[in-house]
Amino acid sequence: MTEFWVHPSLILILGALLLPLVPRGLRRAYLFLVPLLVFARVLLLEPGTFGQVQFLDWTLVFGRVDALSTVFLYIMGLMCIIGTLYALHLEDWGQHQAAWLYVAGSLGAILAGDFLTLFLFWELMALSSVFLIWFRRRPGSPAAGLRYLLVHLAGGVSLLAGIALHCRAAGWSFGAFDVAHPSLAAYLVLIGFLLNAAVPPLHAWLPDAYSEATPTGSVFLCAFTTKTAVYALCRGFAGMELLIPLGVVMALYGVVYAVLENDCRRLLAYHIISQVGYMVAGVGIGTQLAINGACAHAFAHILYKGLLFMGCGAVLHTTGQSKFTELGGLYKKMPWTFLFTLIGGLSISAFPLFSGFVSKSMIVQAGFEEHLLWAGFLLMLASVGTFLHTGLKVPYFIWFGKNNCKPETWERAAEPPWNMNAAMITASLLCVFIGCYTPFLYDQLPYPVEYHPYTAYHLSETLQLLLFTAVGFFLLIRKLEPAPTISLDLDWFYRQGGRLLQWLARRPVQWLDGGVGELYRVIALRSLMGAAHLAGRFDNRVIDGAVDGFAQGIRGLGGRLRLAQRGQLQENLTLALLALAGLALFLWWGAA
Amino acid sequence: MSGAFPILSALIFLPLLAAGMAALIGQVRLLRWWTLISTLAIAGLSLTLYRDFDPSRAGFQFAEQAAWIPFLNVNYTLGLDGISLLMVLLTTLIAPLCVLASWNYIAARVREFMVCLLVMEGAMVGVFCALDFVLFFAFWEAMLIPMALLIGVWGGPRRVYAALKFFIYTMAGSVLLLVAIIALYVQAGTFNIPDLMGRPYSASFQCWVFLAFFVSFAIKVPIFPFHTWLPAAHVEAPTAGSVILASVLLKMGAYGFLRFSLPITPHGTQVFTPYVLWLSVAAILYGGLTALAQTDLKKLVAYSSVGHMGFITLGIFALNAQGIEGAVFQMVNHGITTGALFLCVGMLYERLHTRELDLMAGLGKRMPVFATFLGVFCLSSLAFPGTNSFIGEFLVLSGAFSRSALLVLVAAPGVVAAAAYMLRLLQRVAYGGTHNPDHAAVADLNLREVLTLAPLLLLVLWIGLHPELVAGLLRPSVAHLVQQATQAAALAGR
Amino acid sequence: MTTLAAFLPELVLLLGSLALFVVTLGEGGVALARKVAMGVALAALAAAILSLDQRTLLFDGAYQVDLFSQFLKLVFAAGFVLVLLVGGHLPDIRQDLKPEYFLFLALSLCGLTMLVSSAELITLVVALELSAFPLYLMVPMRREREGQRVQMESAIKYIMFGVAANGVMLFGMSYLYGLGGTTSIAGLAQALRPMAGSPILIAALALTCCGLFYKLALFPFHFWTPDVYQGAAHETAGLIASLPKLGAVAVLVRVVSLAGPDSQALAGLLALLAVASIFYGNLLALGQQDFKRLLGFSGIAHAGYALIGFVAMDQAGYAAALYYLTGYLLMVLACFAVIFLVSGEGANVRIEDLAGLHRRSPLLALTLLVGVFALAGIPPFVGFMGKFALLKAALHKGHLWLVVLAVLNAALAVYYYLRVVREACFRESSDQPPIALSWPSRLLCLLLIAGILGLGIAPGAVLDTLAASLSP
Repeated sequence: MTEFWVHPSLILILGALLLPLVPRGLRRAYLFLVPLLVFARVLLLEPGTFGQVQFLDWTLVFGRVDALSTVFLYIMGLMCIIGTLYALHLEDWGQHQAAWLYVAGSLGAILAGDFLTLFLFWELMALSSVFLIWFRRRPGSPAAGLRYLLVHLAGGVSLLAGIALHCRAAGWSFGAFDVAHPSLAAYLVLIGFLLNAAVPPLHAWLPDAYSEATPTGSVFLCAFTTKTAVYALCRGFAGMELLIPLGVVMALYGVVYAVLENDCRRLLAYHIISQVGYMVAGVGIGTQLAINGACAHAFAHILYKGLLFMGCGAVLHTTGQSKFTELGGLYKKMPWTFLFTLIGGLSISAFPLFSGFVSKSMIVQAGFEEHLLWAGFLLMLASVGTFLHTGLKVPYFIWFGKNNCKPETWERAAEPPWNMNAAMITASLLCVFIGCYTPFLYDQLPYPVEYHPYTAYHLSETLQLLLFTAVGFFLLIRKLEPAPTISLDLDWFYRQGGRLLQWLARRPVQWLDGGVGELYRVIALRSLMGAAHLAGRFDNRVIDGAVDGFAQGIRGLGGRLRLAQRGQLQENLTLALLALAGLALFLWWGAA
Repeated sequence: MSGAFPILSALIFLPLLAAGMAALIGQVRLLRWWTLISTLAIAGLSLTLYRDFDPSRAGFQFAEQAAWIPFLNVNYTLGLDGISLLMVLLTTLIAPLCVLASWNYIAARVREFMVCLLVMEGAMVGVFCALDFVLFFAFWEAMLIPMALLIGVWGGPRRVYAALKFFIYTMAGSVLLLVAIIALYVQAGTFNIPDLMGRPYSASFQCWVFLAFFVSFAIKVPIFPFHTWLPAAHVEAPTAGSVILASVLLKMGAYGFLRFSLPITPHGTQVFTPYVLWLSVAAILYGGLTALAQTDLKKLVAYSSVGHMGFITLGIFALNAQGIEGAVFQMVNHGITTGALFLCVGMLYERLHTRELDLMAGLGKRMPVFATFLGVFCLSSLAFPGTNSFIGEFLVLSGAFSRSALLVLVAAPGVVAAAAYMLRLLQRVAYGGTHNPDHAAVADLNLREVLTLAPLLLLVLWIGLHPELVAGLLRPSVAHLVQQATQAAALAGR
Repeated sequence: MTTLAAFLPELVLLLGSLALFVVTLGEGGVALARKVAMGVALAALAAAILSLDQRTLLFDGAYQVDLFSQFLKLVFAAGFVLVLLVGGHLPDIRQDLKPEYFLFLALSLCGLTMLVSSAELITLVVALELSAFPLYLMVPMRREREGQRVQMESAIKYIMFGVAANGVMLFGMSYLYGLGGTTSIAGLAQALRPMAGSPILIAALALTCCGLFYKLALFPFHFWTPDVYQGAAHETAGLIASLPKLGAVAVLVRVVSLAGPDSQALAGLLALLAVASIFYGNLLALGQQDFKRLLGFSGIAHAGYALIGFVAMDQAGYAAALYYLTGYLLMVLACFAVIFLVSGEGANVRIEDLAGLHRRSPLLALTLLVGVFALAGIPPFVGFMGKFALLKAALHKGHLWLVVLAVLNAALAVYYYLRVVREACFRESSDQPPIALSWPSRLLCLLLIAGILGLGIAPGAVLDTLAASLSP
């Protein structure tokens, strides 16, 4: 290194490594201190290029600080504090280590100025995050972790291959690809990124893993992997048309499956896909406004999605349940958690005065400005769905609605520990703050912002949408319960409509996604292990057998030949003289 | 360098001398200390090589020459270039660790064991230093005896089978090497290896010689499908034996390719390269898959070696500077990492007397220090960025890329598999599954074991973060080698 | 006077034999006989050293004393000492015959020393028989124990084969005489040069060689070998396995060189025989249980290897063959020494009986290890260098296939040698008592190990001497 420049990841990595040595008494303080240090370090970063290291015949750039990376660094650092705070009560320090290494990977990847460094931290993320799944220590956990890992490593290999190809042509520095005429290398790298961004059909790992992770782990997971991928996309593939349809598909896809989910954390996981879809679409649009939107949405999304996962995590932590059919009516037991989750839900569904409103709309707006009307409308449609399930379904079925809790669940239910609440408070305040005081977010964005969310038109439009959605939701809810007063035709209409929707959703679409998930399960694990065992047997039977068999054969030959020499004198003498005669003949023939 | 201190001879014969002394020592503790001290002293001596080696020169250094058998025109010729220097250093480094690893593991017939170990070291150094083909072959074959004894006497339950298989298989492989050596002599009139390089042998002759070389080296490497002796030997051998096998013996095959096949028979190399490349890819995939299937820890590491050696041959036969540089890197790295993994396995075995992966679940809780070591070595073994293997594997891959992208794309799943089985291992051992056996009695590493693993850990990180350490030594040699291979190929072309 | 000096080793051996004869007349002085024999052997050794640089022709050209003969005499004398050491107190020889055993031993050695000097066919035959007949008698001298009369049968086989082979040899010699009109080898070389390569000459030479092939235990005159090894006492078998073969090779050098430098037919014939006996010996050795029998078969194979040197038909080849046989002498003696010391009072040793030898006597295990690995041709032992020299000589003359087959066999042979190593070093013994070694036997083991190692690591001197002695 030329000058002394402390890499934020370095602090985290050291912190993680030293954690076991910290005496139990001081551990909480320590847990609180390190992320703060990191965040402070992030705040103190000046723009520029730092930490260049000569590594064999290429230079590694560990610190490339510019407008784009700063936003992401800021929010990642912030999320690290909140997540750690949320997990503060854990005695199992392994989880903290894994989480911090994971964050360190994300920060490092964002700061990376060349592909090699990017890859380095990219792998660090994959490998450390898998432990957040394994640490749940359920029977299914190892398998789930391994699936997650395999997928990400496959992505990593594709990325590495792409890098290796790209660097022969265009050198090491990590910059924008030629999105107009992408090369094979570009596609390989793009696949690597898209896989981490969970773009269908490469998405199946996400709900699978995030619902399997520990309550605290999923808070971290939901923030970093996908958003780092979004950053990488912004950096490398801004304005690549291919991304727009992909993003839109993501947005809708996620929503549809979120609607169908019964496990609240799976629901949220699907919903990440949907939200990331907005960002991918934004990157695809690629205008300044769109990129700003993508960044802003990532920023906001990390907060409110974290908040939502924290809420459900709190429920899971106290009740041990995450299925809607096992929950309900908990608002009596844990009102605060309910409040925070509601704030999260409102923000995600872009309710005015909440963070989602000021960020999501930028992307939609950018879509309209680029005259991609279809994209714009579809995204809006998606946001309706978002409100339907996250803003309303989650709070309703967990905290209101019919109480499906088993008695013991009901008994266990209570407000979570203080640190969880503290974390949720922080996140909620930030959500509201961003929603109310836009400059806080907008001033950080890479490009100057002349976009104003709080216009009369935009407000009214959003409110109408949300209102109608809400009305629809509550009507459906009520109509699902028998109510004699309602007239038959309406009743019939609603019920049939409901049934139709349900049928459409369940049969073909559910089947499709189930298929994708199963396929990925099979490819990722069963086929691999199957092939592995096959190879193992092959090695024992065929190759070993061939060699040993050959040896045995020769021995057998010797054993049989042995009988030729029985020690019969006459026989031997005759044989000898016969051989002699034979030799004489051979000579004769040889001479002639 | 005539008149200078004959350091290479010293490195070859001091171990033998030490072995002679050890044969006279009766008392076991004294014996252990004597072996340890002598190996350490030899390692220290070998470090002066590193100091005095001039990395800017490609030729052979520390040369020694003396007439040995004039009647057969065989000479005693020694010398080092960057590649063999690294191998020698690896050997001398591994030896003391083997002694430490066998400190308590070997209880019976300690004296014979230590003697075998020291003789082994001498022979291995000799293989890497020899510049006369007959001398090389003598060391190459002589090595089999102590190794077979190590496996057959101190090995596991199927040790006799493993020892016999190892001996016969490798010996059968190298008999044709002898014929090739003599045939070369008949053509060139010398056994001096540098003089044998770059001569315009006829094309068909080169092909035959290459095949003879290939069989013997491929078995030593081992290249799929010649690897079948390896799992047996690795699994049955005592810890020290497995470490020597993995760290040094396997390298000799690769070293043979680099030292003989490429420079002496460049045309033959050109002809057979495609097949070897595909065999290497097969080895990478096959090794990865088979390792994934193993539940025996040692077997797992053994099969992983097959995969890793596949990478090495892949790099060598990419026939470009990057690939070969990466291959040599991997030779060193695999020596360090796999050696370390075998040491770890041995330590577990000393405690649990089993190598079943499931019975080790959740040991991390009991032995955090061990878990840390194991974690680093596993990461290094799956070529995690920042560890030593990454840079080598990357060089190999990009070298192979410039030959054919298809190769690498086919080999890529092997990389994934490698990561998969290593992390599976790590997750099982360090964190365990749901129903862990009771390891209440198991103690964490003691100082000796920590001291055994620490140097390797240091190297893993040092080379990982500062590869110049290795790269600086071998660049000129590799460049020279590549130029030899290509230029001489042109010669043979006419 | 020079005559006397030149003839010194033979004289010593003759006088020694006489002395031993006198001893045998007295009543059962086994210890005395042994002392005398050892004295004779050492004296012969000294004499051989003294007369090493004698060059002369004796008995008007019938007896050639040159570096070649003198060097081999030196080897024989040394071998004599070793054999005596191996034999020790002859535990397995009938008590009343022990002195005679020493007498015949000395006589046989005398015959061998004369063999290498005889430059004329008749002398050659006489010397050959002189070395052979005592052996015929020594085989049945083995002590009888219940159910063991096999030595008699072996003796009969040995004699019958010997007689048959000698008949064939004399037949061939008569042809040589008919062709050359002389019996002196030098003269024959002169006379036969014009008709080099003619089938009749080749046939004559081939037939002449048969007698030597028989001593060398080469295919197809090998059948007696395993039975005799198994039947004869260890000490006798050790002798038969080592010294006469060297003598046979020495004579073979003189005979084959008669064919002229490049006789393709003869070379082809020899190559054929070599390959045949290598394969035969190795394949049959694979399945053997009795260690001596195994050594017998491996001996057949090694005779084949030695013959490879003659296929080359040049000095390098001959020197290599002689060097190889010298080495073989040491290796096989090492194995027999182990057999002798393990078996105690002389029962045959099965390979399984070696189990746990490393525990019973580490030195013996080491000796066996060295000997066996040397036989297997693993460096740094003499076996490897010998094979290497042979193969180099043969390949230099372009006999590629011969060489390839030979090395493949080396790989094949490793298996049965390793079986011995496995028993001796890997297997644990079934609580057999440790073996106490007297200091002469310790000395013997160390000498053999040192010899096998030394000849393997520094063969320069021996090879140069042999080459020099072969150059006309």
